[in-house]
Amino acid sequence: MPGEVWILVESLRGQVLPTTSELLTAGRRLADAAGARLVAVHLGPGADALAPGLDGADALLAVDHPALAILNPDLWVRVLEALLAERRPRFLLMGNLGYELTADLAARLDVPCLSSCQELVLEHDTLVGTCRVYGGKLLAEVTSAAPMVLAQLLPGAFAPLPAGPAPAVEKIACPVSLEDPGTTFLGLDMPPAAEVDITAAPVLISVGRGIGAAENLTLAEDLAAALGGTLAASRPVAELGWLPKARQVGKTGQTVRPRLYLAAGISGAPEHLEGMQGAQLIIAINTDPQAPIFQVAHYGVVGDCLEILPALTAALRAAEDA
Amino acid sequence: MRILVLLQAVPDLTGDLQVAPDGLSLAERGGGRVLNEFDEWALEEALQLQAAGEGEVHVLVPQANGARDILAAAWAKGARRVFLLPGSWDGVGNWGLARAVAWVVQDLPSELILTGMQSPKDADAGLGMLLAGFLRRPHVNGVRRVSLAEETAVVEKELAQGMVARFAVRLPAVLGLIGARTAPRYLPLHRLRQAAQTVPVEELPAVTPSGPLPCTLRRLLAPPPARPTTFLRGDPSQVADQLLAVLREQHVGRWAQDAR
Repeated sequence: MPGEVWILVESLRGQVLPTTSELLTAGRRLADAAGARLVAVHLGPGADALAPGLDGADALLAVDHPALAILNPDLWVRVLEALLAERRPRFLLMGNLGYELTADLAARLDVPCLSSCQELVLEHDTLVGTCRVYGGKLLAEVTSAAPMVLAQLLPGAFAPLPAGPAPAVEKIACPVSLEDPGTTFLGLDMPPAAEVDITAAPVLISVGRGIGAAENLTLAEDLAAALGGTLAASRPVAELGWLPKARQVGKTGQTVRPRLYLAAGISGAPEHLEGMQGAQLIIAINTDPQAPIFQVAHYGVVGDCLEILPALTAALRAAEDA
Repeated sequence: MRILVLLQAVPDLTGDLQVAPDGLSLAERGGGRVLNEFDEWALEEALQLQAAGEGEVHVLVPQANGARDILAAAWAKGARRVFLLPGSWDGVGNWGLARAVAWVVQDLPSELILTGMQSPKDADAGLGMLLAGFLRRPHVNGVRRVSLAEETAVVEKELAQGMVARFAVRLPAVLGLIGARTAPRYLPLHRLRQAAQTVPVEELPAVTPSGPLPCTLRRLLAPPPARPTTFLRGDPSQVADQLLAVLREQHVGRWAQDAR
């Protein structure tokens, strides 16, 4: 119905993902402010089993079609475009799926979209989104009073709601043909078995591009050995092949919550922060005082990790010998 | 097959970013702009496809400080044609830019458009996926590898926890790159300087984004810290001693058993 607030459900293997709970929080606030219904939208089979994990929504709208069981960009855009055009909700909020879908849908429907939002509020009838830009170094406040707005929320920015009753499920027929798809899912490759599980390590020494060169990794390895820690990496380091992908922290890597996360030469792009900001103690070393990693660090050192890492290793060894 | 690579000049994120007095733009401090790092992967993957005989790389860059350097570098690396989209794009967001690019690519036929998965100024949305929507072409975002067959691209899309989904994408299509089969190639400075003198830039007709922009930038601001950060100062050995004290106090590492 026009005026509703929608969120797009994210699930994996029959479980609602934490990003969906955050969408429910943001959606609930907007729905209450607008006096509207909050509707969770699920594409693919299994809506009944997911409903208990979607408490906070007033209804669950489900397009139960086996071709939608896994994210297929072309098919999902087709279905959502048809649903949005027909039912005209006021807002559609997405999490990680939004990186794939928001912009394409917005352009097709000629409606505004916001991305990487860490806050969304309704001021009178205008949506105000606070979006992370420039690698997290700045925020952009963006407004739109359009009758429909799509927004992609930054994972980790909204706390989940307290539990409530499960929404009623409304199953509808697929509103559009799924024949002749522009994208065809071929398969899913699982990562090779890792020699180490960084999600279980209590102490992580994580290196970013500031480490400079692969041969400098020994500085981090020495510190990890002295501290009883495990080596991890930001995406650029893994992408350059300096450390295995299994050690990558962040959106397309692992989410970690160690006792200590020591970030050496990591700037702290939003995609990296998403994977480590739950660490109990965060120490960041970076030459750039504006580096976003300092926004989440408990302790910060503005300096060169190539100097600080060996100094800390030496201090630890001296303390060991004392 | 023609592969059009869309590249953007963006502020250097390793530099000091300050908001200009108008509150809406960045203060230009003489620091140049650089190629968006995700776009570097797109260019590299396109050049790898070209090297394998699977296509011819054309590059399009919207006008901005540093745009001609990016065109020169792309040409020196192997792009066959390089195009400059004239205009002032700073105030129009990716929405306005994508509309303009969607207009001009009608005259630049290409079976495949590659660009970076995202750019640092994506407050509205990523350029590539907006472009896919305006062109109504199939897309996949977050791609790290592309191979081409007749009328189809087979791509690897990165997912969470190291998983990779494989898709066949019907051409023409738009792909947003997050990686490539090899790291972006290095270009020696002397070759870049040489290319800057000789690059045959083809300037496209000027385009003005049509229609009102659907979002309004109200202000740019520095983010407040999520928590108060204690900064440790001094020379490396002094900082190391302070870190050691923190680890001891927080019962980390060899002091973990002290907390039990």
